[in-house]
Parts: sequence; C-alpha cells; structure tokens
Amino acid sequence: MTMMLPASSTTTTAVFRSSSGRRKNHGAKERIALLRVRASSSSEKETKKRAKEEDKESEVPPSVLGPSHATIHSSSVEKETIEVVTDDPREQLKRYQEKYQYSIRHPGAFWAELAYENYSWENRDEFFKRNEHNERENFDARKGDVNVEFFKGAKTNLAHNCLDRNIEKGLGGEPAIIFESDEGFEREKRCETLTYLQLKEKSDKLANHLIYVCNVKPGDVVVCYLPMIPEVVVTMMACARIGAVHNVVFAAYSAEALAKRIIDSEAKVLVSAAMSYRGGKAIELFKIVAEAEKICEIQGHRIEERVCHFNLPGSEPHTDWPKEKAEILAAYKQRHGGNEMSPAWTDAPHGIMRPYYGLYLFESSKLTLTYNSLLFLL
Amino acid sequence: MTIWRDAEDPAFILYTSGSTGAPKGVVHVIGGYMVHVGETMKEAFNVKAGDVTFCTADVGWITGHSYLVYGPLLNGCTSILYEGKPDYPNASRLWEICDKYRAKVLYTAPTVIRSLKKQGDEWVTKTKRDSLEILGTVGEPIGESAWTWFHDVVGEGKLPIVDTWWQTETGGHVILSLPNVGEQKPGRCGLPFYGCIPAILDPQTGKELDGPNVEGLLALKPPALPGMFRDIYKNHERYVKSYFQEIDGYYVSGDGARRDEDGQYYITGRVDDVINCSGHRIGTAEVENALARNVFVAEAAVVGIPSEIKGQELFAFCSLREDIQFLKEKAELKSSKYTPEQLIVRDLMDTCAKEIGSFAKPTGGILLLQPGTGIPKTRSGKLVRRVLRKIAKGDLTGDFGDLSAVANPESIQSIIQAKKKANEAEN
Repeated sequence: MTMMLPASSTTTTAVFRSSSGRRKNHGAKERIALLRVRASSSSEKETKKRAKEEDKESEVPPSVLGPSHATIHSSSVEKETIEVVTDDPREQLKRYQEKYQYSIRHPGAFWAELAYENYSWENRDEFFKRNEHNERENFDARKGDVNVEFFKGAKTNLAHNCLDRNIEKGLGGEPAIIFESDEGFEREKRCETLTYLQLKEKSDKLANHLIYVCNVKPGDVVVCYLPMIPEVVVTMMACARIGAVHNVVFAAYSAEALAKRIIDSEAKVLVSAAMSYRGGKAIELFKIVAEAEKICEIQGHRIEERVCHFNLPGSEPHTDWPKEKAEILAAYKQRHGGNEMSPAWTDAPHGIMRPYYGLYLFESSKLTLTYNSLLFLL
Repeated sequence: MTIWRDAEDPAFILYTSGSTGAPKGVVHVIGGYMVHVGETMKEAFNVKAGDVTFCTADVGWITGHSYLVYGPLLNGCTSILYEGKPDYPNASRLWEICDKYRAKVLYTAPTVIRSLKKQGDEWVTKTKRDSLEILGTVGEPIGESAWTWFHDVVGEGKLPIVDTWWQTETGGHVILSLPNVGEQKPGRCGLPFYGCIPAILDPQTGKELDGPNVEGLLALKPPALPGMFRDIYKNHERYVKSYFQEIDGYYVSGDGARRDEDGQYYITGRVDDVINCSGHRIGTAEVENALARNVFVAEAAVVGIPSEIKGQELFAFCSLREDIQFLKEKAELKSSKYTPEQLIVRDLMDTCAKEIGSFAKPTGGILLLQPGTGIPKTRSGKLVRRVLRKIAKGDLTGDFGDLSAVANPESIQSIIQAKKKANEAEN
C-alpha cells in the first residue's frame, strides 16, 4: 500500500538528513534516496542546490560539528513529499529501530532538529545553528548535581507555539477546543467551540488581567482550581503567554488538599470557577475555594488576587449587568488604590471570568450563600 | 504581549503523590516539555493539523496537561474537552461524543474501559465509531481482557491500540506501542520512545538486568527525554534522593516491568507505596496521615487491594485510640440505625474525603483495631505492608513467610482475628 505523507510529519527524513549532513553514514544516504520522491520539474535544480549546501557544510571543520550539534538544513525540504513504500508492521518496526538507534546515539541532534523544524523560537537560527549544548544530563549524584537540560539559552513561549504558530499557518478559524458539557447530550446544552483565534483572544485578555491587575510576573505561580471547562485551557494559555507558572489542582481535591498545594507552591493568585458539573450533579466549587483560602490564611498564607469563572446554574444569572459592573469597578478601584480594571474585563456580560473578592472573610458556617449573594460579593 | 522565556524556565508545577508524606510539586520546563509532548503526540497518534482528538483524562493530571491541552494544540489539532462522566447519562456517552465530533483519536484509561465493558457491548455497538483511527490507553497497565475488549469491540478489530507508559515526572510518553510498528499483543506496553533507554533493575541488588525475559524495577538511564521533570518545587534534595539515589545513575520510576524476547516491555504496576485507584495516583502515606488526624484513630496503615474496575482500591487498618466498648457510651456514636463501628467507619471515610478528596476513600474496607493491637512494623518502624496486603485481600492463614524482621509479630494474629470477626459481622 502506498501512502503519501508530508515530509515534516515523517521524521524519517530528519534522521537520515542529519546523518548525511555529517557525511559519515553512506548507507543511510542511499536509503533516503529511495524514500524520497522529488516533486516534478524543479527537482534537478533542487538536487543541485542541496548538493551545494552539503558541500558548504562539509567545509566546516569537523571540530565545530560536535556530536551534540544538530545539522540544520534550509526549510525548502519541507515542501517535498516522501513516499512511504509500505505500512507493513515489520517494515515499520525496522524503520523505528533505525530511527531509535540514531536518537539514542545523538540525542542532542535528534531533539534539536525536531525543535528547530517544528517549533517557534525567538532566537531560532542563532541558537540552533550555533549552539553546541542542546542537551545534557546527569543521573548520578556521585558525579555531581543531578540535572537535565535541553536547549538552554533558546527562547520560546508555549502559548505562542500552541496558538500564534497555528494561526500564522492559517488555522485561526479551525476549532482548537470543542467543549462537550455534562448535559451536552440534551440539545447541545452549554456546549461551546473555541477556534484558535478565539482561544487566543480569550487567553490574551486573561493574560492582560494577570499582568496588569493581578501583578503576575514571569516565574510567579498561579493556582488553577478549575473543572473540565474551556476556561482551564484559557488559563493555562494565559499563564504560558506571560511566563507565569501554572499549578493546576484537580478539582476533586478537597479544601485541605487544595490549601496544601497553594501554600507549598507559594501562589498568590488563584483562578477558579463557581461550579463544577459532573454526572448530572452540581458541585459548589466556590465553597471549597473559600474554605481553602481560610485554611491558607490560618497558616499565614494569603491569596492576594482571584479570578473566578461564574458558571452558575440557570440561564440568566446576570440580569442586572450594568449595576453589577458598576459595583465590580468600584470595588476594584478601591482595592487597587484608584487603578482602573483593564478594559478587557469590564465588558463581559455573562459567563466570563471575572475577579471576585472577599469570600474568605466569611465563616464557613455562613458559606451556604445563595448564588445571588455570591454575585453580590463581587 | 508574548513574553519569550528561556527553554529551561519553568512552565508549570503539578502535584503528585509519592510514597512518603506530602505531595510533590513536579516542575516541568518550557522548551523540552514542548518538544517532547508535541512530538510524542504526533508519533503516538499519527495526528496532523485539523485532526480531532479526544482525551478523557482530567486536566488536573499530567495526561490532561500533555495530551488534552498542549499536545493537540501544538499540533494544530482540535481537542475535545468533556466535562462529565464516561457513563452519564448512559454507557454510550464516550462513543457518542466520538461520533458527534468525528474524533480520530480516543485516548482513555483502562479503568474507564473496564467499567464500560461491564455495562455490556450493546452500548458500544449501537454507535458508529467510524471516525476513529487510533485508540490509546494510559494510567495503569491494561490487562488482557480489557485490551481485547477495547480492540475487538470498540475498535472492531481494525484499530491499533496505543498503550502508553509514562508518568507525571516524565512529562510525556516513554514506552508505548507506536501505531502499526511491530506486532500487537494484548497487555504489552511496547517499545521505548525515541531518545530514551529504559532499564530493568534487580530490586535486591540494584544491578541492571540485560537481555530479554527479565523482570524488575523499571528505570531510565541517560540520555534524558527533554520533557522529563527538572525538580521538585523548592525541594531539590527530595528530587535527587527519591528518584536518583535509590540506585545511583538511574531514574527509578516506582513501577515494575518485564522485557520480553522481542525487547518489548510489559508494565507490572507500582512497586512502591503508591496506589493506582481508578487511574488516580494516591500515596498511601498521604491517606494514613489523613486517617491519623481523625479523633478516633491512634495509628493507621493503608494498602492497595486488587479491584476489578478500579484496578486497585484502598484498604485501611485503623488502630483506635480508645476501647470500642468505651466509645459506645459516647453521645455522638449513639444511633438507632447504625452501630458505633459503622459510625466510626463513616467518619473515617469523611475524613479522607475532607483531607484529600472523595477519590481517596478506602472503599476496599476499613478494619478497626482495638487499642493496643498495634500494626506490624519492622524494628526501624516501617509498616510491614506485605503482610497487611495479604490480610486485606482475605488471606487469613497466618502463613506469611519470614517474619523475622517484624518487631511485633503478635500484632499479626490479633489483626487476623479482628478481620475474621469483621467478616463474620458482615455475613
């Protein structure tokens, strides 16, 4: 059976290319010739171009190309297709074994090539073309500190790679997240789709809020106590965007367990939701959060900023949004010494993440709040 | 507004349970994690941009981080985020979601597979599942019968099953059965992912066992995978000590494994004091600490017992503070409906739910022990779990092999008696 695959999705090329780049493994080079099918008329020209490039590389003194150095070629190769001759499992196993052997003999080169080809880096070319130390590790404490290191010095961003890179490729309108709600079987109730663009927009808003209102700095820990809703992805992307470290706590953990994880991670900012829906039941997450905050407070740790997603039951929880909005803004201003809330957050009529205050002030006995009074506490 | 960060800067912390005490904040970094997760997603599930993937893990666990959020998004895929339970409103739900959104990949856990299998094939067969191309499993070893059902009924014998072994600590896949690579065998986990070398170590000597047909501790030796964790948050010493110093030069995973004649791996389950219950990783020490905080309890020991659906369940031995006769007089334990023992057990269940979460309840059973009974320990104070596990499973023969290391062997007999009594009361 014949299968056409784009070159970038078959890392076979990557492996053999690096071998041939070093001009040591001639057998591999021959095989790559068998695998590769050049595209139409321009093929000859390209072959010549490649040969020229390889010649250039071979001129580099061997000492510069250390074993951990990835040999990077121009991206012109990406447009080619490879003909995979068979998907016979035995054939595939053989191919796996060859690639595996290469990967463990030259792990630095193996990973650097993938990193270079498939991901965005701020200093992509300078780093991957010059850097000798893509990878190092020590598992033996007798020989020094135990550590693992990859691509140290290369600059990147997870949210950029997850969102912007795909949007640049034209996937902006494609769905990134399809949210199937607990009651989704009933006429799509509460189901939602976020395209790559929408996910970027939402998470950038939250990122703005985290920076400008919550004062989150790169490296700060943000605790996320969220159920399986799109907001958890929004929050992870927002954190990644600004270099904040997310600490997602499984939303079935108790208040005690949540508090322990907040305190241990020294997090000052908490993102949560009001409710969690599972198996037809509604769980009041906000109570657990409030209790956890109280436990933190008792142990001398204070959550300074919170963002809550108000996924409350009922269809129209925000009937009086203008009034609520005024209250939120006023509370905000007071709390932040006259600073205005970032505009992205003041324009959200329903079901969006908004900051909230003060829950932890209440005794747990008084926490049997109605949803309306919860809103009032904003 | 993108803030570019060094590849080695932390991306996230995720807490996980270990064999001792407090949960550990596993630290992952941006660059290595990204490449590892992005590439394993691509290789394991054959995905390209636009493909729809459905991972049923909760985002609060590493599987949710890596193959529900980051892996699919890094590859331009569409990830289905399902809020609810796999069997709500009925056992067809997962397959219906696959049909509704035309999922190409389904990645789920053996515990989910077992529970849906129990409900009968008709819930599966009435759905189409024609968009599915790859079925994946994660979380615990998948037994032969669950594998066979997943393969034959869900996949109609046509789809490759991608079993994956990896951990919170490794960030992404380590050992897996890549689709259409080599022969598939029920229950076999597979081959190492590119760039990593698993090792099987002798649990007694710590020596690496070479060649085929060996069984022991599953470890990793250099080179590292880029997605491997870099630290325990604020506790580098614990990172080094609990993972790399048990046997110098290796990352010791805490799981056991066997390598067969083809060089492929079978995972045999945890070899330490961590329990895998419904795919949740629970440290026994954490539950023991929670139980010991209950007013009725002086000392507690928790072990795992096999469970058909959950894989493992927790079973607790709780030594009471005061004599049960005396406790009967206490007002809060007076009830017309329940015995004091039942009330205490219920209170202990609540304690676990309160301190950790409902999933950490000892649903396998709680055995209350009279004060002074004691729990078998070695002279250095370590619980003799081997014996406790046997009693919990119902082995009351008292034939537990060499007990010379046990400091208080008489406690074993008392516990057996208590268990017998409890069994009688149940009947």
